[in-house]
Amino acid sequence: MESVIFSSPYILCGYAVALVLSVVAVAKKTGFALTAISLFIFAATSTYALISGATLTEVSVCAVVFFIIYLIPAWRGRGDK
Amino acid sequence: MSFNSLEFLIFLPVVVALYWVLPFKFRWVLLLVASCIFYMSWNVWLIVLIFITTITAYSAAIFISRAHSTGVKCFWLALTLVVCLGLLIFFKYINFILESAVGVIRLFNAEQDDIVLNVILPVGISFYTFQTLSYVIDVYRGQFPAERHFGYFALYVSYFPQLVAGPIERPQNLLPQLRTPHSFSEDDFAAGAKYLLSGFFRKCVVADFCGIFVDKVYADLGSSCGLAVFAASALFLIQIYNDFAGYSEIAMGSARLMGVKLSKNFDRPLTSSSFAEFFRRWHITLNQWFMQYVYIPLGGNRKGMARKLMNTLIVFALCGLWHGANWTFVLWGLVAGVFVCAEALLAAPLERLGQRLKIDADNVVLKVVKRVFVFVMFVFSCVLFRSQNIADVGIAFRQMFTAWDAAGNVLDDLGMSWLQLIQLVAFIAAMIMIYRLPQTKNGNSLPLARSAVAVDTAVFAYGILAVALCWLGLLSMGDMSAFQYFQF
Repeated sequence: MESVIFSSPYILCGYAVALVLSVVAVAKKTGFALTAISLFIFAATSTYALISGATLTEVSVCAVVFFIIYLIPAWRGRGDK
Repeated sequence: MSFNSLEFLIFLPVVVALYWVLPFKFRWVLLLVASCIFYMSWNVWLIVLIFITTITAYSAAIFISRAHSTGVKCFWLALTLVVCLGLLIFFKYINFILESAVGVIRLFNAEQDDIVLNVILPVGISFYTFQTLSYVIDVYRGQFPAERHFGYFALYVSYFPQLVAGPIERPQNLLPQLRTPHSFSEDDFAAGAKYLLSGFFRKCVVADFCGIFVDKVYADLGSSCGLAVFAASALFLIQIYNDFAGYSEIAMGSARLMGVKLSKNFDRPLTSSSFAEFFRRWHITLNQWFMQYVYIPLGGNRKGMARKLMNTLIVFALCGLWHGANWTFVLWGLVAGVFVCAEALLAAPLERLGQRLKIDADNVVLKVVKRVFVFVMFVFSCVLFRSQNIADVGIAFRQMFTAWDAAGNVLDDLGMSWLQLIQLVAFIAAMIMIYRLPQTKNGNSLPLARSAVAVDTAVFAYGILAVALCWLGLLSMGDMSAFQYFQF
């Protein structure tokens, strides 16, 4: 089965930008704006991916990757700093 | 109405909203009615069984607390055991007993047709029976006063978040909380929401996904290669852990939204470095029940090594039987018991050997080896847990140890694509990391409760998206399954 996400440069770019913003937001502990922008880009890219024919499974993997990134602060026990 | 159903997604917010709107004196009525509706959504008439159990335990506890002679107390305790365990044995084990009896008759070459009674298995009967028994035994032992208010006691037996699959609560933990007037707390609400997110993620994302490949291999064991059977068994261990831990977390989250703290049922068992540790971390409330009400009364470890080993084997065999009316479960319990006994017997000699060879017990490599060994052994034992019958167990082990010629086709045998393999790796990574999400730290403070709002929001946004997408994906493929522990 061919992956719609990996075959579309627009979708890949969208997820990459959202990923970079998320990593920066977590690493630098920036405010709400960066997280909100990354969330917005993720949502827009996911919608586009689903419209382009990506399966729910494919998009869910991307959501899990972003979920893992935001779980890192909890996992490392930094949340209460 | 399963926790992973649309009905529950409507039911829970409605009950929680009404709970906080109503004055305290009406809350128990609301919860009792909600619990009855929740249970009757499976089968209306099965509520009668809970009622019989409740009324028996309620009356017996009051008579025990009023009785002055030990004989009278014993009578009421015995009556409760006969009624509650009688219902459990009839509804859960009668066909198993008949089937085994017919098997024994046939051993002597006598002709005997199969005898099967048309009895349905009431959801959660093992859980509420054990919870009720713990109450009556504690009253009998003088460890807890008899509850006079029938409404609160009925609520203790049928409290909907933990009614059908635990955690099995002792009265000391749950009853006083049900009687306490809770006030709305943001911390409780945040903790409850995190438990719910973690629970739904474990069930809808990890467990159901693993279940697809486990079902594929176990449906046709004979045609799968050894590595595929082993991988499917390992995935089954991950599936059942996430399925039940997910259920427990949803139960804890639902109760926490109403200010009630249920007992922890799982504490990262898959990272255990010994068999005994595994069972201290796996289904904690059931193992504590067996410890309190079976192992210690049998003599525990106070009467020498031989008696300790025998008691351990008895407890594990009963624990296996508790899981289901099938010899595979009894065998699984005995195998687990043998693991624990062997570990207890070998502990001292291995420690001496380690000292002689100057191996540091805290060595990181040694710890990893121990963890891998424990995990692999439990994967083997899972074959017993997952197989439908003893014949399947034989086929699974035969394939595991002999069918190595087609080991290159593991993914084909599992029915797994490369994309699904990546998905599985991502899910397992999330599973490893999610355990700290609802975890409390230093007693009551939540690690994430004080963290930046941004991270919290993102965790919920991506977590809900992941759960919703996976849930819809599985729903569209028809692969969404009921909670595994409902059958127990």
